Amino acid sequence: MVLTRQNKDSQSNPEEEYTALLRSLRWTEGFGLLFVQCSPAEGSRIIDQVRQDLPQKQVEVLSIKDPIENLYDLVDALPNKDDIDVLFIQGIEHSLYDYEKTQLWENPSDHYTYSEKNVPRLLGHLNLSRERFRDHFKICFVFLVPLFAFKYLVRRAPDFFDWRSGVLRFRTDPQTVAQESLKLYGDYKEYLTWTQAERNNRILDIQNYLEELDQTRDKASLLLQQGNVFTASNEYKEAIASYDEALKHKPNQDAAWYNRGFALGNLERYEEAIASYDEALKHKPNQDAAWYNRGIALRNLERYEEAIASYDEALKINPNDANTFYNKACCYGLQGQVELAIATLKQAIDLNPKYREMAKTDAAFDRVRGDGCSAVPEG
Amino acid sequence: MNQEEILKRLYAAFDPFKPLPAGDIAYTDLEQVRGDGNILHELGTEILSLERNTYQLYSGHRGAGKSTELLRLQKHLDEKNCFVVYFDADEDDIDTQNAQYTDILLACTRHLLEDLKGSANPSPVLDWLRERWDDIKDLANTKVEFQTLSVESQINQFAKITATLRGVPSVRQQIREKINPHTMTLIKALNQFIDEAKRHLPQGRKQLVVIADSLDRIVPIPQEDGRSNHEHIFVDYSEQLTALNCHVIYTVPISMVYSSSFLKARDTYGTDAQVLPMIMVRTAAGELYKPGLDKLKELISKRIYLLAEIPAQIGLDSDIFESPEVVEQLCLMSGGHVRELLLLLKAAVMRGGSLPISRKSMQRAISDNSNTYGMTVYESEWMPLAKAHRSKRIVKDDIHRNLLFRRCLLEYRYQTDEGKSKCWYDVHPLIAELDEFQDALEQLKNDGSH
Repeated sequence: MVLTRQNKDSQSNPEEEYTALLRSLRWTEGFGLLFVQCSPAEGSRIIDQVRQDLPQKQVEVLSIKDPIENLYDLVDALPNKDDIDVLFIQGIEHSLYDYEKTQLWENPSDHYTYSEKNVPRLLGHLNLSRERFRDHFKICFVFLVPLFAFKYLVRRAPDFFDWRSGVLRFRTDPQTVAQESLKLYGDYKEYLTWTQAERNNRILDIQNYLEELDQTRDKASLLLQQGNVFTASNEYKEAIASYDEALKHKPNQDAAWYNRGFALGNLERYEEAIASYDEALKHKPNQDAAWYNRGIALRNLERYEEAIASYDEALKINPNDANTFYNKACCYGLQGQVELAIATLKQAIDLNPKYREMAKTDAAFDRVRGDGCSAVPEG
Repeated sequence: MNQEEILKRLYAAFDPFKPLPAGDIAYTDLEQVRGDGNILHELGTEILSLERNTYQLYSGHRGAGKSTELLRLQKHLDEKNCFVVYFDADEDDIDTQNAQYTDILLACTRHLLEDLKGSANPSPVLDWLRERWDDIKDLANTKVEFQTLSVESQINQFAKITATLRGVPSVRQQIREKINPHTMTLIKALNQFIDEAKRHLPQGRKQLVVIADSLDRIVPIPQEDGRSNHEHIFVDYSEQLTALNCHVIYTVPISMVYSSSFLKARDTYGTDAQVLPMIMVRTAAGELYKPGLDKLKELISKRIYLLAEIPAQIGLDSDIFESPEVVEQLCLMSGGHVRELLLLLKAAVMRGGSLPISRKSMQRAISDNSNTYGMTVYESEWMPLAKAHRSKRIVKDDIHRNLLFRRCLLEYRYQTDEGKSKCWYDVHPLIAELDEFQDALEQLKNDGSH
């Protein structure tokens, strides 16, 4: 989403912008279109302030939480539409998620370019219905949009945007942006418990901060989060593209390499997954999980020797991991190394008895069972 | 009149969303400074002088004044005994996401039916719709029963139904597949209606003209074959779009007019597309072009004193603007584009907040709008922009056509001494302000010196 330039008007100060906004609202009678580029939090502050400062105007807020295709009908359905002077519209960025997702990742090598392969339905609607807005509503519309959505409007609803009465920019200072972006750092396990809609919204929030952040280091961390949210949604392709982007900003992020390996593994791209784990381990060798997952990928490629070696590395770091022993035992089993399989499986069962039951039906041990001996050790 | 009241009126006078109606006192005739004498007379003359029906394409930069000019043409033709069906295509007409030529055909049909219902029997068209309706009503999942409606409400229903055809996203494609094979029969039915209507035009008018405005508002989407949806519509279906038994003017995006595939369709339309150029504020050599600047000042002045009715004793470049330079600078930065000029003026009023509007407010308005332009330019486009600025010429490839569409490049024309019309291009002055552009220009200079 990052186009070729950063906003350079950082010298504009919020009071100046706010005064200009008030002026526009005071002077506008009937239809008007104002675009205010700001963060959602800033937007809410602006609304409160305007309500205080313009008591003579009927101010309403249309807060959109979900994707929509048609704004006209929403406004038309407002019960007091004929009395409204100023209507703030928040949340149109939610209608951009699908496009955001597909356009960003189709061609990651091209860096962040806008896909023009599609137009968000809402923007197509706005672009063709400006006359209806003008002719049917005596309202001054104020669109509160984050930077990335603003850029969308400019590009993909150009005719609508061309009717603007003005643009105001409330740019949060870089420190605050960096500070606020920390709120978007979450736990992968928590992401898994979220609904799809919650995860989609998080992606949009992240997109917005990616636009605003100055520091490449902060961007790298946020892209990693984005990858994790995609991973939690099983959207591995998008996740991998996010990790790639994160690594472009900061190549030594072991977590990005590791999670990238995980996502690749889920797409059964094992060779690439192994290479990604290798990179992760290069930057942070003491990660048993990386060795373990690397083993899984190798096993899927039927490279059992190497898989076993990888599990051994994991066990060096974390000697009491039953799961690793079990998977190692599987590799022996698949190789037909019956004794080693049995001995290793025993180690796993000693640590956690649940593996006894698992082994009974696991095809990896078919040859162990076929060997005639009491296939799975009892105790 | 107090200062607040003056500012408020000025702010409203520069609204970018009110094209002037034909004959408005604030209208400024810009033909001479667009460098192409009487483009509308050309469109109009074709219609009035030729025996056969004409199908003309009209184009220009967004906000350059196309609608204003077309409304004038409508009036002109009206005075010459033509019946004009003018419509501004909107969402009821055009699929916002996946517009196809059938949308345009159905839009023409709908507006012809509405405007000419007193002149001819609409049943051929309604019969066509009824047959299609039986095919698709299950898909469209609506309860409308066509037969039960009166002819009057059937016409009203036409708009609703055509909107419904597009309104159900899940089956939209299926519905289209059912309708598309029947467009030739629609054209036939529509022509029957048109032929009858032409014999009974109101007030004994002789010619029928359709002006389909705003079709250039279809958002460009590259198709799988690498061409744009605009080319698909206006080139691939040029036969259908030139099959109606009346004169038609279609507005088309400027990027389409210069596509290589459009050349193929030119013969079908029988004429080149007419492009409404920018008002020249500088010559191709970069010198100020006074006639153009004077016209823009006239436009500003008319808006201020005629539209906003500011008393004449309040001087334009002393009381309203700090100095003549402020006005001139705003005119120059508009690139000779009318709506851009209004946007700049409006921003300057908003930024200033008091009279006279200062140089500082003017600069702020310029840098704001400049920044917005910067957001639309891709990294790979700075160099082509710089090159176009130097040579004043462009190749008509995808990049440049796209830049024209986005108004990053502007088209100008002038008449040579021999009366020939010459065309040249330049980067939008607001883009020329940006660091990235200046960097690219610098790089170009350095590359050239090696």
